[in-house]
Order: sequence, then C-alpha cells, then structure tokens
Amino acid sequence: MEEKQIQEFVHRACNDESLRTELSHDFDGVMVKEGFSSRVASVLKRLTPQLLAHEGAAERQGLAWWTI
Amino acid sequence: MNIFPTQKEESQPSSSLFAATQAILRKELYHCIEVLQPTLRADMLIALQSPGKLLCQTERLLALPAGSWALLVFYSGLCVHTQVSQMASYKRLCRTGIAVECFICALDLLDDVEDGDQTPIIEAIGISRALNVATALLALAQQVLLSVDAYPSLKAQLSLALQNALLQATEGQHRDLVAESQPASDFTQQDCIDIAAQKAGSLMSLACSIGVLCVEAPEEVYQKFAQIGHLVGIAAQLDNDSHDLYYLIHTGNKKDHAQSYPTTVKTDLIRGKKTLPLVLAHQQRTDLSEVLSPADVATRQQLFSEAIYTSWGVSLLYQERALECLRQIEKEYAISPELRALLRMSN
Repeated sequence: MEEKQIQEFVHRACNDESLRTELSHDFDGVMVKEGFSSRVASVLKRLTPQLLAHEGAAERQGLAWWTI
Repeated sequence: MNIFPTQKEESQPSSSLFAATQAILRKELYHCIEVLQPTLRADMLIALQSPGKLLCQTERLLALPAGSWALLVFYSGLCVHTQVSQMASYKRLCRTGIAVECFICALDLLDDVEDGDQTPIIEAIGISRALNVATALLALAQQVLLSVDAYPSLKAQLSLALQNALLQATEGQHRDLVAESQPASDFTQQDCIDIAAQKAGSLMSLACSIGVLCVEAPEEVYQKFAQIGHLVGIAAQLDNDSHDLYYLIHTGNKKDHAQSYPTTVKTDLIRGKKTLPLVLAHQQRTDLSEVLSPADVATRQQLFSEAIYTSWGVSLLYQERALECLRQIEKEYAISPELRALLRMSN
C-alpha cells in the first residue's frame, strides 16, 4: 500500500510541473491533501529535492544526496 | 580497553571502541583458523581480507567498519540485558560474531562465482579454490557456533538460526538467478521486494538477532531484532539496486560502462537481474534490450530516473519501518551509537 503510494506520487511529480511547484511551496499541505501517513511523508520529504530538480538533476547533483 | 559501552550518553560511534572490538574479534578469528592446513588457510585469509571483511586493513575507504557483520552480532547482543554474566556474554558474542563473519564471507564468495563476477579473490585463486574456501568457511561457521560456551539446546538454536538464514538466502539467490532468463514483465514490485527480503533481509536479520539469542534475551526481544534486520536488509538491497541503475544510465554504452564502474554492477545488469528499479522502468514500457545502447539517452534517463526515485523511495520506506522498530526496542534497551551506526541509523 505505502509502496504503491510512493510509486504513484513519484510518477505524478515527475510528470506534473504544477505538482512540483506546489511541493516546493507547501510540502506539508500537499502531504495532508494526499492523506499520506507520517511515514510516507517522511520518505517523500527526502525525495522531494530530487523530484523538484527532476529534469537532468541526477547528472548534475551526482550521488552526494543519495545515502541511507 | 574495555569494549563494553559505558553508561554515559554518546551520540557518535566511537572509532576506538570499534577498533578495540575488531582487535578482539580478529584475535579470535585467527585462533579459529590456525588449525587449518596452510594452503587452505592462506586462501581463506585472502577472502577474509577482502574489502569490508574483518581482516581487511583499508577500512577507512568504506562506510562501515571492517567486520561489520561480526560487530553487528556483538553490539546487538551487548545492548540487551539478560541473566547471563557480562563475561559469558562477551565470550559467546565473540564466537557467534566470528561464525557470522565466516558465514557471510562464504556466501559472498558463492555469489561472486554464481554471478560470474571477476572479483580480486576470484582472479587471485580461481573459481575452484574459491568454491572450496566457501565450503570451508561454511563448515567453520558451524563449528565455531557449536563451540560456543553454552548449554546444548542454545547451541542447537544458534545453529538452527544460521541454517534457516542460509536456506532463505539461497532460495532468494536461486529466484534471482532463475529470473535472469525471464522477462521483466513477469515480475511485480512485490516480487522484487520478496527476493530482496530473502537474499538480504534474511542475512541481516540473522546478524541482528543471533547475538540477542546467544545472550538468552526473551523471545519477543529476539523477534524485534530479527525484524529490524529484515527491514534494514531490504532497505540496503534496494538502495544498492538503485545505485546500480543510476550508474548504468549515466554511462552511454556498454564499453564505457565496463571501464568506469565496478564489475559487479556491470555483470548484474548485463545478466538481466530483475531488480526493483529495472522492473519499475519496464512497467513504463521502456525497452530494456536497448538499455546499454547510446541512442535516445535523454528519454531513457528520464524514464529510469523515475524508476530510481521510486526504488530509492521504497528503500527509504523500509528504513523508516526499521527505525520505528528500533524505537520500540529503545523503550526497553539503550541502543549504543555503535549499533546505530552499524544499522546505518545514526541520524
């Protein structure tokens, strides 16, 4: 369930510029509106910087952000 | 130096504490292998000196201290309070940690052979000797466990835990190998997570819980540690898979890829491993047969980036679940900074 929520949200964020804009201005509001659990919201909070800079971001930023 | 954590609160793992524990574990490991025939012992030493292994001398290059599997057994067992005396706990944890270190080293060797990876040890001693070293390490792991200073039924439980993990990991590895010849469309997100759980979750679960078992902690505590390991193992596997695909999409073709990135990354992807990000990418109708061609790189990178973000997100989700499990344990037991670091939950 939570896995599916992440997959679907990432897909939307990667393909919907207005959602990315909303995320950048009001992340918490988006999470509330989507009805995500605090756990999913915590994951998406860590993913959001990459999602916001989606186009070509990976190449520019390298792997510095990518650690667990 | 006293390797038992002090009562004072520390937020960062102590490198000197790790070093002291490593020294004791190494001494124990050398003692265990000194009876072996010299040529076998020499090859085994090469394996145990590989990057990340307990006898490795270049640990500063790695995120985790050398011998992290043995250390994980040791520090997870140390953080629970039981009726077993401190000295008895310490002796049991040392030997159990060594057993797990040998066990994981054996499975890593077998993985190298099964996946066709040309790792330094395979290049150094060849496949036949590597397989024999793996067999010897598995036998040694079992022997060391059965020599733990404990009553027979506890030894049997420790041995059973090791064998259960071995069976689960080999089941996962077999599914992974069979998957190489199957189309990605046959796999779901859950299939990939299940394979990661069997391959990596089972081993991390063993390392997190067997120390707790050997100091005779209550069953429910043992189960909680096993659950943390299971979740951390899945998270780590998915994170590795995400990194691997990241490497692939940022190299234009097979030749450059082969030259620029670790052999294991190359062979995993060329062999058609069905990792989560690859299966997710396939679900977006990406033609995986052209993954390594330089054509249409931008579109491919866009699709694969989404798959990588998703896969990484699922990895983080499992990490969050592990963290929640750890918080449950913290209600009863203090988690040392060393254990936190070994679980990659320092922050």
